[in-house]
Amino acid sequence: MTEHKILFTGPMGAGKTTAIGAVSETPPVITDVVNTDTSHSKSHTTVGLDFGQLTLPGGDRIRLFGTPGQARFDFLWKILVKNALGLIILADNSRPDPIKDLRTYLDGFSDELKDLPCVVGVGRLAEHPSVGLEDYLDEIARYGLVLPVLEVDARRRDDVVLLIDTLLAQLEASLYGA
Amino acid sequence: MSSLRLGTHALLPTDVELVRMLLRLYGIQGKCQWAYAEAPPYDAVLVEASALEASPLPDTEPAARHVLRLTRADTADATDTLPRPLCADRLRRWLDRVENTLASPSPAAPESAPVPATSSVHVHPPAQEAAASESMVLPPEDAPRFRLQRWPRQGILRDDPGRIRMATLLSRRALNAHDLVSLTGFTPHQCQVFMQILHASSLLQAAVPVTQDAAGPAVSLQPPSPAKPRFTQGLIAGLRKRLGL
Repeated sequence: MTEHKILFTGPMGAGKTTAIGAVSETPPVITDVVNTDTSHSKSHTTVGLDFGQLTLPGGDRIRLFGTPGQARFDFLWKILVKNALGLIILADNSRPDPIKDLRTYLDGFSDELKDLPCVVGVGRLAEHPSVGLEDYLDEIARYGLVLPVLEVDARRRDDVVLLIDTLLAQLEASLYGA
Repeated sequence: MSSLRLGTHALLPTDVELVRMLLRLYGIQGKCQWAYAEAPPYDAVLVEASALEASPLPDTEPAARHVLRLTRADTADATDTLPRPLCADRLRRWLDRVENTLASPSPAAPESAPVPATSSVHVHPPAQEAAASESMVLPPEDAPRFRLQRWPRQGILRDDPGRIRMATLLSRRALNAHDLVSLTGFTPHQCQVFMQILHASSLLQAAVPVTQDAAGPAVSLQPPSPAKPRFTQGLIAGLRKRLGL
């Protein structure tokens, strides 16, 4: 039995824990505590890491890890991303500067993004359309990257499945003809 | 999100109301880019065919490029016509076709040729049209390969998981339509049409063999750092199955 890992990252409140819960076969293990960060109204926030899992027909497992949302826990990113199959960056368009948030993760994972499959899911776009998907694409282009950017609702399983399928397609492209 | 405008011309008020209701229903079902527009500019117009002679569309109306004629006779085998009673599925299919055409601004890419408002109707039986589509044969394996240089806008992807998958593959590796068919299992027609749309939108960058001088904008056929094959095709298939894909 082999274990593989998909990492969900993004700012506090972007829906990482929710997204993992939407597809995990078991209720996600959650390390939330009462939020004392006054910059965000969430009652609880993740301080360790969350994880869910999917068991494949052959017995292999996919672990779904969520990074803590607060930037002060960014030392965990490098640990968590090691040997990951792919990275899902969840953006929250209701935040004051979602493009600056995106930069945080593009910078934080810059070494890995040269090779690691990655997709950006943008949440709360309909209610907060002042920053559009094109703005995300422009920012990603400035990093010399071409990443899928999709509008998502982290509560919807189909949306989360599509994000994972987009990572799988990137892996598939890398394997093609190899 | 509605971004395309459907207008009407010389239709009965009851037909107008029906069209408006259908567009609302398409919107509820999701993935519909069309909304009813009270006034120009339109992206497409639904017209009463019998009234066209007496009340032609203005020549200056650019939407006349995409005109659907509502007829009383059953002319189901004619393109750009819709017989009464107005069939929701047929209207949706026509709108999808126009949407594809609008998403590919180059004349090289259209899936259906626009019909001038005052021209005679060009007849293509559906079976013949389908055969024409199927005749879009698989291109050779060694056809030129292209890589995505920017993620396509929503109007091109239309929230279609198949298009999203094709775009994703092209974002990681230079491919041709033959490769896309092999990787996705989609029809040659689907893959070629999508690549044509991307071409027309200047989103594809030509690849050159790695041995060739790579000066200029072309990209290598190979990804810069191919992922280690620790995750095999079988596991990808297993995970897709587990996710219900």
